[in-house]
Amino acid sequence: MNKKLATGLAAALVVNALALPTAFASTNPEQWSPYLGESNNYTSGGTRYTTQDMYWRTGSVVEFEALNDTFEQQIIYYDYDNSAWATEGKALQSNLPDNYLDTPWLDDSGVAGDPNEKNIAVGTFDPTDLATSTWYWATVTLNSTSSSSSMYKIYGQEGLSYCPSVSCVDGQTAAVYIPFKSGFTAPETDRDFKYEWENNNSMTSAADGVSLGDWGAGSLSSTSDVDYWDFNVSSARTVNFFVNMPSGVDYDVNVYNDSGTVVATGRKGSGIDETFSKYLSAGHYYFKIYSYSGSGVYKTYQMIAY
Amino acid sequence: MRKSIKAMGLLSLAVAASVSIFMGGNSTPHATATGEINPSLLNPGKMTAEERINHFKGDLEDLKANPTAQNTVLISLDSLKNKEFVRQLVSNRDVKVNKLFHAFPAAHNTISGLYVARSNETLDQSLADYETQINTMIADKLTQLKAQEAELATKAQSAAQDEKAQEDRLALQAVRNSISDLEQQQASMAAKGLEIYGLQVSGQNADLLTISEQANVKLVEKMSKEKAKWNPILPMGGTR
Repeated sequence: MNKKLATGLAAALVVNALALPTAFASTNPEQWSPYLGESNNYTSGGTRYTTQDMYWRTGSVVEFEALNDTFEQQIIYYDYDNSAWATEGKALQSNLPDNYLDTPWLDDSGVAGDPNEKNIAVGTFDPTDLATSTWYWATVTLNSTSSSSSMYKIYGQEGLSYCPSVSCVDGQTAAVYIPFKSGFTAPETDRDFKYEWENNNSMTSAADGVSLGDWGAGSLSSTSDVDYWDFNVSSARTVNFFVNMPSGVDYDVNVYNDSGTVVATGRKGSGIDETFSKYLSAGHYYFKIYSYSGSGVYKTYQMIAY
Repeated sequence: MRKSIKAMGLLSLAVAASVSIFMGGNSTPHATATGEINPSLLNPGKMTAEERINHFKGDLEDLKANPTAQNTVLISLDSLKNKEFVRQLVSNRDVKVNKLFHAFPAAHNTISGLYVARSNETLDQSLADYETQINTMIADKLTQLKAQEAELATKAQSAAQDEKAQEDRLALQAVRNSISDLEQQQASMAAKGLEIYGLQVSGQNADLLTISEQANVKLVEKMSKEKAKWNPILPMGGTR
């Protein structure tokens, strides 16, 4: 950022600290992300489609109150090896209020100019009209590439529709719900995700439940914050664990059985994804993510047991 | 470049927010001190239909002033119309329909969307392709939602009474509402076909004007980069 511009921006933000929309004052994704979601990427009648389902729980849309807030959910098919399953949306049907299919012009070469991450986005111009305890969904017809499969990423963006004379600004803050992960490729259906619901800081009563194969996303807001997720194993099997580690932090992982005994751990260093496997008997388990070092509301992780 | 633009935007927005507070709050956040809509803060989701019509009514005069120039316009219709109406609307005009917009006011939420025409396809091809894709989307979405209903029903059986367990039960009812809405749309599609509430058209201003002056056209807005994602005004009012 231009230094003079940055100084001016900082000054303006200070002067207007009380006047600014809330969206600029807080960026905790839990306050604007869907609590539940499902992604389907499939072919029907020879045409490729993606559908994104979004469910905001009670109290989870409080962030949407600013001037020109938008919410956008973006899907990106991995194209670093030119294998993207799709690169473009062609038609949309959705029950999101004031919905739109993004037609990027500034970043039409991909997210933030990265040609390897061409985003297909559905959004709402009016997230203040989002109702809690409602399933919203968006189905998009995709172009067909020569690729038969590719990894994909899903992320949400609290944005804004703001167009000064020569350019538009459309992003404030984003949170990944499903990261690029080998073995999780489009086409696939019924891939669920959940965003953490604080308080999830104790094993016994407040863990966020997920099924094996569901993604969970969250962040540690301080070094004392911990996130508990719980899941069931219906019959003995090897369970694989993965945590997509935010850069610059070192979160560690414990897996507990229902008695509270540690049965598996992940202890890799800063910025390194946690990945390990464990043979587990049938039962109820807990997955604890805690900070060995580093924290912050921007540092969203994604975890999965599968 | 993008970061700088974003910073500029935030800076300007901060100033705009300050102006808004000076004016006594942001109850009309897109209004400037003169009462006009600040074009840099336009968001169709934040404008009433009346505000939008008043702000863009001058676009028609611009078209009249330059009848031979080329333009792209967004046309809002005053009600949901069938495919034949759309065909008639643009018939005998040398224009290209770039986008079509459909809607269905279901009981719980309005379902809406759009179709982006390929550069070489005719309007008839676009309408046929659009309707086929929407029918497929409805059928597939119903299958997915019914599977989701089964998953949520299992979770909702929990006897727990904490807020997370209660939310599971709310999610189950919500998915049933979505299924009901889509079944209504499916029945409507079978009975009436796709219903259109707007279109984006490119062509010579003279042709665009002829289309614009027909009955049932509620508003014509010139397109710009800033409005690339905009939809026509939903005729049933409201957004859900």
